[in-house]
Amino acid sequence: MTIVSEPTATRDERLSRITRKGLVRDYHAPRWDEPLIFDLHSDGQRGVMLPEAPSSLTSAIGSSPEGSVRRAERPGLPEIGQPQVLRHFLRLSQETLGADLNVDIGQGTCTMKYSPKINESFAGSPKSVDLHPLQHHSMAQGTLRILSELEQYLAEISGMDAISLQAGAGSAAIYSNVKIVQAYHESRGDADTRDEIVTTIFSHPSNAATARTAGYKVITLYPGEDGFVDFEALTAVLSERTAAIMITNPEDTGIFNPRIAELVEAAHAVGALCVYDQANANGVLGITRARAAGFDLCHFNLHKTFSTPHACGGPAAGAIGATRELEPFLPGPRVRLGDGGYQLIDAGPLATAPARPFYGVIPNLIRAYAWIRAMGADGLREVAEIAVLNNNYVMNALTRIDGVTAAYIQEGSPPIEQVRYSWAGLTQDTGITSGEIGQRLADFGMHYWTSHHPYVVPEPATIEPTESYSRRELDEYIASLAQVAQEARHSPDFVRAAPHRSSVHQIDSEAMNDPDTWATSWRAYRRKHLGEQRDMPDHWKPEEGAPAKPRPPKAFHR
Amino acid sequence: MLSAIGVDDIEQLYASIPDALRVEGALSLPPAFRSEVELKRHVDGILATNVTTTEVLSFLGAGCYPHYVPAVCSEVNSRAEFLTAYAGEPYEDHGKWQAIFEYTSLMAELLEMDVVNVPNYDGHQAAATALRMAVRVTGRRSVIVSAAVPAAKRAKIDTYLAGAADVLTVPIDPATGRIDRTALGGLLDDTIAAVFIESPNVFGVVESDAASLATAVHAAGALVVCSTDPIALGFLPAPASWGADIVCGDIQSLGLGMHFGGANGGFIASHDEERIVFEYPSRLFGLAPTAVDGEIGFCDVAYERTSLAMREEGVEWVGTAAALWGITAGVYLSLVGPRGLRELGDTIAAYTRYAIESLSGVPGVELPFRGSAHWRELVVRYRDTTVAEVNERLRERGILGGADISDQFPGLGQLSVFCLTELHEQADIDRLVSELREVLA
Amino acid sequence: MSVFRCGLIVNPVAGLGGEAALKGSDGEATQRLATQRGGISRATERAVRALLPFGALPDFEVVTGAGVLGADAAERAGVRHRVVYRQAEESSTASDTKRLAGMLVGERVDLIVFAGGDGTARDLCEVLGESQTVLGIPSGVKMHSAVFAVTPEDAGNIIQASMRGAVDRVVADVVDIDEAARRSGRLRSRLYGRMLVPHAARGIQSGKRSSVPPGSTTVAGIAAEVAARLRPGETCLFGPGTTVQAIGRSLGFEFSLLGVDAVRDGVVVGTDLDAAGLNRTVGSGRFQVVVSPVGGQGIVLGRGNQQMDDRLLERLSPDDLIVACTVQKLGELAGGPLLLDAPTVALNRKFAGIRRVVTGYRQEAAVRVS
Repeated sequence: MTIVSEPTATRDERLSRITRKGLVRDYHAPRWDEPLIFDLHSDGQRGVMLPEAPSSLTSAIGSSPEGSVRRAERPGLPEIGQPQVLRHFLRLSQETLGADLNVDIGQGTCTMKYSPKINESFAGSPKSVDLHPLQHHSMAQGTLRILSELEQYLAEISGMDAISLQAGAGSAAIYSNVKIVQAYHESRGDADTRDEIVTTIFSHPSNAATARTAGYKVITLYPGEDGFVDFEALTAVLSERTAAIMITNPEDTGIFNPRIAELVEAAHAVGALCVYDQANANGVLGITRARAAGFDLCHFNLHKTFSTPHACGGPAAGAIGATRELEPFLPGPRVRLGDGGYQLIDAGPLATAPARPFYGVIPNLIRAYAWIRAMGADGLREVAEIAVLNNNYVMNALTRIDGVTAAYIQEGSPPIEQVRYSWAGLTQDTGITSGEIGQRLADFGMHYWTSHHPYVVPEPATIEPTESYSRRELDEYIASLAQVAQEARHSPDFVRAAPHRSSVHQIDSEAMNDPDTWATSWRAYRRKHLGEQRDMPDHWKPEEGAPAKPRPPKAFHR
Repeated sequence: MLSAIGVDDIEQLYASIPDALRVEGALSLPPAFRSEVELKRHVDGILATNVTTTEVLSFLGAGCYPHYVPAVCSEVNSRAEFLTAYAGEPYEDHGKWQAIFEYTSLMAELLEMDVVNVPNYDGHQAAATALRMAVRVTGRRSVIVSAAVPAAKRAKIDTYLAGAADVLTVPIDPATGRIDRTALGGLLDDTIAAVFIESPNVFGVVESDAASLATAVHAAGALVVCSTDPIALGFLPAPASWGADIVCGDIQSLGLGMHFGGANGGFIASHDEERIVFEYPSRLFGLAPTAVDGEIGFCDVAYERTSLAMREEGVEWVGTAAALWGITAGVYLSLVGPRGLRELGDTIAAYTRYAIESLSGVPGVELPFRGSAHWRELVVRYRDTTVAEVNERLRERGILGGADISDQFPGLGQLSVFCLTELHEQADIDRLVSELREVLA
Repeated sequence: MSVFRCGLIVNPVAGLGGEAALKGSDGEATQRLATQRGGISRATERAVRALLPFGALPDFEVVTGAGVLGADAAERAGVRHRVVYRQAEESSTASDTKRLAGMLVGERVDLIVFAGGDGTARDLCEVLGESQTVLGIPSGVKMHSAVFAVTPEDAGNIIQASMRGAVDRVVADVVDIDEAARRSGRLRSRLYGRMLVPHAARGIQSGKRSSVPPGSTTVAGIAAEVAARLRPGETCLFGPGTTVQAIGRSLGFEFSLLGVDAVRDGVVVGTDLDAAGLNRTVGSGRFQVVVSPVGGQGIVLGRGNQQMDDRLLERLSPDDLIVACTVQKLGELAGGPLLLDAPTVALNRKFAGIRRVVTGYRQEAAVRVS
């Protein structure tokens, strides 16, 4: 907003205009110019006092065995009072653009939807927080009931026979599924020959990465010209060596592969398992289910589809669905309702190793439970339908902007819950890249994401309008993006220099990719850039003359 | 909106999904609650049937620890901005980047190491990944793991290293509860990538001889991977100070609360050795200059390591894990500070020792590692009965006895691990001792 | 009935350097050297392949130069043609190309088709600029410009589409390898100008992107996978380009940037071999070939590796052709298809289909090659 000291318009004129707001905001991010927490240090300050053991006990430490292991000095943490700590972190929170604040449809594939506030009161209830995982099951009946019923709901939503709620996030669930695949083939004695996993380039990178971590050879299918898995390519690579196919559908391009059941059939024909990544399930809730397409395993990201807040990148939660045949391989103890109420029973001899400590990310499982209970069957279907409608609405409007196209969208086959756009046209005309558009969009108080690497669609952008945004909000996002596209044509240098209205300015990340200059902590920064001298304790050293591994080419986040 | 896009019916938007794959009719789910009031009544009603550890006297730990959660921790992590942010760049989410960088930096001070990851899932994952990092760094194909590691953590390590390295076990010395030094010497050779030491270990015993272990491990060309609880480091020296190369663990104790074992974040730390840094799968945040002189900016360090940049060619994988718990732990460390952490360490050490000495006087209870240094946990052996039976009887008296780890150490008898924290009082220990006397009488 | 008038320019010496491993046929001296080594010009033969579908068409007329400049090809394809230019005694191929092009503009032909390589495209660009629609029949050694069809048959299809009026025209870059950079071991192309080409979904190859040397870790993974596949006692030929060169470096071999090199049992047994040398080196037994698609174009055979001639490729089992490519490059190609322009149509068919492309250690991509 420009403040004019001598208004050129009369007060009445200005008064009459204040309600005529356009769609494009005159936004500026909060900017506190907040120092690092270490600068807040003040000798002797404390943010919180904790109870102390009686001095009769603490004074005995010196003569006890513990006395010999007690460290000589206090750890090198800063000393700060409670109000100062609170103010510091509140300022940082203000400099963070949560989904609660913005039209968060630009973080495609992330399913940024509204996380109802009421669910926070359940997740943070002392009746949940103060529960120890090893206390007797009779004392945890409430939580166990929630877990059991949530399993049933997710079984119904996916069509699968059994659910494990143990995985700590989406990728952890994918890894667990890979381990289930491995255990299944081991139980049949052909784990050694089945050493290949087939996935697609538009599936989340974790499908390929977890398979590789588990020791599999990974074969990636690239799309045909229609964006779908090339069916012939799939059948060409399937063999008695295939352990599983791992597919996301709708893929990250937002298009639903109508031949998905045929892909599954082809994989089953060679004895491979089929694993469905349901990260993009938001547009198909109550419409179609993993089991219908014949999948053996699937997973949901509860922080995406089932509304648990994204929390800056976790805690999250993943749910795994399995057929009856694969249920014995699910990780973690199983919840069962018996005569004595709900119990946790041992996972059995075939079960894969626990995915994480104890039973799952409980606060998120409670949130997801409450969300499903608030929605019901009709509500879930409505969520899907509105998400799909919103997506098609945005696509319809965005593709009218000169220079942007929607990848792989065919007449008569609308996208489901997101679209992968390409700004290749605009880039060709103006030189402004998709990444630069994203940087400028921050000036409007909005997120924007390109796509996973490698970019198969040139100059990509992935937009996923969930059910949580009104038409006006979608129009606002579209108008802002249209304005950036205009700017790219008229003032490309201005776009290139963005952001102009962020909490910070363009970051020079070059130094952070060089081992000599990167600063992975304040402590590292002091040593490398402020000349702090420090003695290294005893530590491992590479063998004399051991060659350093070659490094991958530098990559940057956007 | 339908008319805006020239569609008559929402069904047309699902044209790509064949009929054969459609759900027929509605899903079979309980009816929706119409109002928040009804939803709240329902969920609160279910949760009310839980009996929490604060309603009884609990001595349970064993991987999930009751520590105080300062109000400011909850205030910050329930801020809508942090709670609902996700993968934004510094230009939208500068504050998030700074808060996470500060978490890693505070941990770096505590751990006396320059590199700390953006948290991964939990301490089990951190342990397994730390070991695979060591395998990649050295190119060797075996690791040695202490027997005094919780069973579930060991299971994670085994499954995660399968195919990448063999996992050998170094036994404990039954006299001390610490790693058997002679046995370790026999296992160490030039095929060993790392030795995994947990301190305090599953018995609550501190590996007080760690420095000399580290010297031996380094002499064999292997890395020392140490798992610890950062909250212990107000009392115990940082593992780096005695020679640990990769330190890992869980941040659950740092203001997260217990949540029925569902609140975790894994940390991995190391010195700033390029070969090790390039093997981190997690994101690492760094301090960078911006276009404005003197302004603080943040960005990824060596992003090209990650699966996000490189798919399956990246190191393991990285995804959504536990960022907000990391921010929470940073708030905790800022609040408690060096003096608070020191006092907390002393308090817990004092209670632990007091409990050891008090319990040792109870007939039928043996303290197998009484002479070793402990912190927060201690293990007792019941001579004539089972842990399950004792716990059943204690529960009747409103006490949750120690966790049962007998299955993990069949040769050592009926073992129960008791946990003491700053939330206990001396009188709680006295009460435990007297009730236990009666139970075992 | 309106007649489609198709200008034709054949550069009779284009491609001479290919099998002779000369990286190009530019310059009179190179052309003499190629002739001495026994190189055979195939520009005419390639033009014939493109023109074959038009043999019986009454509404199609080729306007061209005499003899080797185009009439020979038109005659062999059985296409109606008219000669508007004859070679002068003292002329060079470059001046013939330019003069004939000038004549064709005067004739107001609908499309000018030429059989040649990047050098020929540069000559044409000087005369024509963006004034005239042009289409290249790939016949040279280097073809990095975006004006060429992938194969002569593709060129034929594009000409047919043009006759039907079914194509738009787009501006395409004319580039050539920066010789100075190449001599210092880097592959970099230089922009010489732009021409108008018919727009076709498949057929016109995209221009070659300057190949950034691929990251060492990615290539280290590919190299490890390739190393695991090499068979003892057999020769493996390594094609040109930065990716294959980097694979070689990762395995401890110093390969030529633009040549085909041979390795047997961990030893380099031939560097920058010509067609005869390659055939001699692999001997009579089984052998393997490692190639990487040419960046931005995705052509696996027939660009920069024409030294692998029909005799050699006929003996190569499709299973023994190892295609290696970084995921970044595959991404730029939108996952394919990868393209073939082998010396014969039969060979194109032989190596076509779904192939497992090596993208890293124990990692492959299933990609269509056509």
